[in-house]
Amino acid sequence: MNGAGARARASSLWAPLALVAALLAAWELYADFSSVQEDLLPAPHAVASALWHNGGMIWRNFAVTAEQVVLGLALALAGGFALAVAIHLLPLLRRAVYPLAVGSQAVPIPVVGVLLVFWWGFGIFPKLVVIALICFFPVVVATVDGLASVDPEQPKLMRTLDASRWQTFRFAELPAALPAALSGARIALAVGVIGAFIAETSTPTGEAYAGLGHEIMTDAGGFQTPRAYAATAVLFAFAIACFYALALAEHALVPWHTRPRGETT
Amino acid sequence: MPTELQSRPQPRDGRLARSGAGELAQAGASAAALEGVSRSYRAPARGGLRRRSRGERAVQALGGMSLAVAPGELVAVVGPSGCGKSTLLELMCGLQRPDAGTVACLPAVLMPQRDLLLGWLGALDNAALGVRIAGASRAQARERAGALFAELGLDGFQRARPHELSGGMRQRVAFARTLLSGKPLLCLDEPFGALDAITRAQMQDWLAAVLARERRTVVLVTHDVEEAALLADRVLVLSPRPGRVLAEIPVQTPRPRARTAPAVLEARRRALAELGMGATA
Repeated sequence: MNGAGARARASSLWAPLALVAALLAAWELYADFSSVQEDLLPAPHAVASALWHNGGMIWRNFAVTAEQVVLGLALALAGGFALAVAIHLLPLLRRAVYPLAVGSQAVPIPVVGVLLVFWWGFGIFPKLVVIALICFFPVVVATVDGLASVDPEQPKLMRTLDASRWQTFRFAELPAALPAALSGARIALAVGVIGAFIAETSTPTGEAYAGLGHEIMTDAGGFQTPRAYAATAVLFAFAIACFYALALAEHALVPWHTRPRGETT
Repeated sequence: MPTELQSRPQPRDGRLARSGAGELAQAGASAAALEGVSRSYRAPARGGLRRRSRGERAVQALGGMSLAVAPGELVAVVGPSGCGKSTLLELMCGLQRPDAGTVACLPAVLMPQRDLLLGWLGALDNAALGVRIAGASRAQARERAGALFAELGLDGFQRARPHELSGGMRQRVAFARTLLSGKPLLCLDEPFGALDAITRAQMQDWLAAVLARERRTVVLVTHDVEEAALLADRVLVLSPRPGRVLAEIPVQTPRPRARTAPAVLEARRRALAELGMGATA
């Protein structure tokens, strides 16, 4: 935006960076001077070293995981949004589908992981389904609430303007629901990365580079703890990057939602 | 006085209402006619939880309401709060059906109490909403709305989003949307009720000026007796719930009128007297 805004944004970066530095320092001191072993908790410098020496492998696994997260989230957002719209337009569907959607969140993924692979093979698709299963729910709930948040007088006004059901949806309800849908997407995104981890570790695979989640489980079991931590650090950073990427997209998609401070409508 | 009209169920769909009303207009009848209309709605019983099992009570909003509005006339409806004024407008707009009696109106458009502008559209697109719904492209709709903007004192605000507009400007945009619907009958539900006194007075003058140019049939529901006397050809005073017409006060003085014009003061005094608020003008 303007210079003052950019300056404010730059200065707001200091607080999280300082916190990360302080936490890293405390971790380093604890790992170096306490009795905890490196296999249990490697020091940050050991993690950094593992990241440096295994950069190629971690990068290739990261590419696999990142693709899964992005595509899986896309599937979750599209599916969740479509389901929310269907639930909104057909109240019968709401009563029928809502309980099932809630129940789906209690299903332990390993139970169905093998079945998904049986259906769709060792490729990426079963993993996308797992990620979508884990992530779609907040999108549905937030979007359904957003669609219902329209002023109850609004449909009356639309009717006196001779709007069809579809036009009322398109002009009044859909845009009103977008900010809420994006809030749901943010929650989905926050669990998307761990969703990819669960997807990789609960669906069998035959590939050499099977993603960071797969690598972390292998390394943690094979006394390669620093490398497991290095891979975890990459996931950590990736989740944050995704979150802010969505915040930027939100700014572009619903510009009307960023109101001046203190203004209510 | 209301003319006798054939009983016709008020269609829910505006398109149907239009075809039915075409015959009406050809017959040279009133723009709107209600004959012995009663209407109740269900409300939660007092003190109960809001569940059907805890009981609902039927609230009679209108009881034996009759009125007729001539084409081109501006009729103001005043009455105590909760006397069914909003129900009356919804009946005229075809949003509700009467329990008893008949409603026959030209196609009507509602301007609700809250402006209900869409937050994601600029003022021009909000005003043009009805035109777009009628099937025009965005460019066509903007062109039609744009032609009206200067006349309504909205020039320069075409792209402003509703939250950037003052209360008075928002009402102007909402009124532009109402006008641009192209319907012959405008149902205004306390359009200036939420504005401060000074802005409201300005908006009343503004509305009088606009309607002098854009001749329409208007039913104006208001709780402001002065507003009614200032703007209307005829002021109808409603009784407390269930609402019916207590008195009909013609204001026979050309608009624009001064607030202090004798005819305005007299109409105001009479309306207040009918509402039981003494003769202090």
